[in-house]
Amino acid sequence: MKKLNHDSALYKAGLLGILCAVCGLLLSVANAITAPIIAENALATIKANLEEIYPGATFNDVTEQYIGKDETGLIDGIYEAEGKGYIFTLHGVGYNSNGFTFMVGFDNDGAISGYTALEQQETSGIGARAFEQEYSDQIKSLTSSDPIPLLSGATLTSTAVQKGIDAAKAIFNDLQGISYDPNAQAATPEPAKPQPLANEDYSSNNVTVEEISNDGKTGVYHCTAKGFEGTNEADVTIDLESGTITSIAVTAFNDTPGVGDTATTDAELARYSGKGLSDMIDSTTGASMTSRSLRAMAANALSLATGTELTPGTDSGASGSGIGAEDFSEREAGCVVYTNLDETAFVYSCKATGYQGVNKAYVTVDTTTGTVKSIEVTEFNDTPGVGDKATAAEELARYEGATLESTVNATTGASMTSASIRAMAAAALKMAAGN
Amino acid sequence: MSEKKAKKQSLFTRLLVENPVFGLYLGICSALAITTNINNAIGMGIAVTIVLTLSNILVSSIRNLTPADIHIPVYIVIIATLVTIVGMVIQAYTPSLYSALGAFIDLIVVNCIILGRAEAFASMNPIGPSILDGLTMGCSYTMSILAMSFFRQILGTGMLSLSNPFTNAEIFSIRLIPEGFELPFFKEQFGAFITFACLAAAVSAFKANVEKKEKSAEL
Amino acid sequence: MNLFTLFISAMLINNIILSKFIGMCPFMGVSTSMDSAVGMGLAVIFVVFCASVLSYGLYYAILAPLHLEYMKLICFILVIAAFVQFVELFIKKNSPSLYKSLGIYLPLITTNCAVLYVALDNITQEYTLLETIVNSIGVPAGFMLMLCIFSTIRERLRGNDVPEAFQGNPIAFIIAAIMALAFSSLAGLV
Repeated sequence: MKKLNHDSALYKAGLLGILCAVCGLLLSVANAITAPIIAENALATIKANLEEIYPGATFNDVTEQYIGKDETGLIDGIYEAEGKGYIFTLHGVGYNSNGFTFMVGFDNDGAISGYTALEQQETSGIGARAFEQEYSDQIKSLTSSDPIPLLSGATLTSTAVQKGIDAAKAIFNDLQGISYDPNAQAATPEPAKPQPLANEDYSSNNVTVEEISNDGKTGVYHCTAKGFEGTNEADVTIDLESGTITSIAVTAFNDTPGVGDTATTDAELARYSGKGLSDMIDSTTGASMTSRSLRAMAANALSLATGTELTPGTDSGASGSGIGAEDFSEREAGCVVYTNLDETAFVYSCKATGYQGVNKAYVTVDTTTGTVKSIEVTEFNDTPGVGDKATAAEELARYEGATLESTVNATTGASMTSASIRAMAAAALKMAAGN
Repeated sequence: MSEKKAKKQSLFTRLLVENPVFGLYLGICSALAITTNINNAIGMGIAVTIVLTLSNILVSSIRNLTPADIHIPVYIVIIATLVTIVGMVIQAYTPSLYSALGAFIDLIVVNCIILGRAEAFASMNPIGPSILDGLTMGCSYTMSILAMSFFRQILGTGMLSLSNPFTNAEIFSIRLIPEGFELPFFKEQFGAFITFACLAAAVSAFKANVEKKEKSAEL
Repeated sequence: MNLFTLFISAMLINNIILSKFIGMCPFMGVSTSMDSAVGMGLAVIFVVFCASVLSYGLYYAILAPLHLEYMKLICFILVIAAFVQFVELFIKKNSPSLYKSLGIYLPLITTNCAVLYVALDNITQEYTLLETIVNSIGVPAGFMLMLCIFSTIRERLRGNDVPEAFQGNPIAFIIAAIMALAFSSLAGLV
């Protein structure tokens, strides 16, 4: 037999062609065998997540049908839970450039039935709060026609979440024929404004107080109060002469370990020392219910010890007609004229007591309109990592344009430092008005 | 002379000196990227060994039919097909391994070891020795990346754990470094480079030692 | 995604050598002197850009409509090999000087993980054509940057007293480790 000419172009082309054809065939066989298994795996993983929102429901993957309506590109998958509602899997980019994925579920009548993170690597304590209970509960209380609020202190992450849910809302409302205003803005969620201990409403905490000992100088009171899910107990030691708390010792903790107990650490409990009924105590971020139970116990113990009635509901000044009317006597705020940038803009060097130290700032005021132009914090002596949330650029930016009649909300978790900044702003504005 | 040397050297010595990863610096991309735990290392090692052995068999069987100037595309097509099939199988039957290895399964195609052995050995030798060569190189590669993962996992997470990739069931998991004392940077890029450098230096020192011994034995 | 952010991310933040470990094989061999570094770097940018755009076109024009996505590995690697071969012949014929400075690196690039990785990544990340172009320039630009930095350091290293065991490649990996640490601080920038 004539030996094949290995050098001819025809041979080479032929060899390559046959090789490619054989390989292509092998691949399509392999694909036919493995592709269905791969698809099944993918659905199984997502099904486990979908069942979190609608356990036991039958799910249909309707992504192909409706994904074309999505203009944002944020929606990864759309799943119908037969008879119950729809679940959207979405992605977004918050602080961590790798992004995160989450899902949101809507009942057929529009109520948001579920909201959970699937995969996220946001910074714990900051961005990750957008996937924790407080914000999650907020979202689950809304419907598909409500605007989604942001979470202060986790703006980047919650903005991405907001965009994603808005994208899902657009398609869901379109499907169900629900009309809504896509441009409505959520009211900035009122952070639980810290109020003096005597004024907070503890009716849901079912507080009990029992005097254990009282020698005229120091009283010890055993208190119980409902926290998030369980009843917490503590012994409150009160200095009867000054009507202030000496110490609090938690004797029983029945809330969520790892979550609520951030409010019962020694450092947090130490914040109660020296406080009386007219003092405000910040809630511990991420453990607001447990914090509330502690405050309830402290307030009721103080009330019993000093014989003063608690007056829930009367806000002694955190809101009101603007920062000009707010009571900043405890902040000991004061300003001096530092310089003037031109005839109308004056810079005041101010100081005010925050939580534990004196904070200083330059407040620039436009004297013709009586508005704050900017605040620059020059010295911060409160707790780093806690109080400095109130001195972040975004928080200070909220003062721009503020007058004595403006209300500026406190920064959640940094109310004392916020108060000190408001005090400085008010003092500077008053000084400018006085000129 | 070199054959005599080869016979003198024990298997272990040869494995270290001709080690594709630390001795010849081939296939280091995957050695650095996926060696964060021994699960990945074993998975990748087996995948590479399978591809290497099968490609050696195929290349060796058509070595007399392939003209010299198109041999590169031919080998590439064969290897790419094998890698795609292995990738599909991994994705279907061991999805956890697939998501852990990620893009590096596809990059086995350009793993210098496979094309290198195809060209250097399989294209010139019959099927039998080619199979042996494939298995040996594959095992050598697997041992190397296992060594890397071993160090990186223990130092980086403090634990040594193995789980069944088919069912995700844990086979064993022991903590060797108390919690809080592990060095997380070994899980990251920095740790990968450092571990590799140290192991490469160790192999290099071993090589130099072996050569010195042989030189003094000859004298 | 913002194109500028994409470029910076591809070049610096998710640098292909220090962050993704891809392209290490030729990297160690070529980063010993500045001249070869520049030559290799430019060659890689050119090849990656062209090959990625070609692969992108091939995937969306032929493979996807025919539901042959599983063929992408074979097709891409063949496209890359063919393209490199073609470019080498072209340069050899038309510009011997260019061939002298760049051409010798071209065969090395075929097995450079970076080329295949970028081509595959563009598909996995579902980039548009514009994003593909930006990514395909950014990634090899990062590769070239690293090559140049490394070659300068290794040139300097020649006069140093490196322990015997670490001479050659191991010390290069130690350098890479320190650089990886430095560049990892960029994470979270975008």
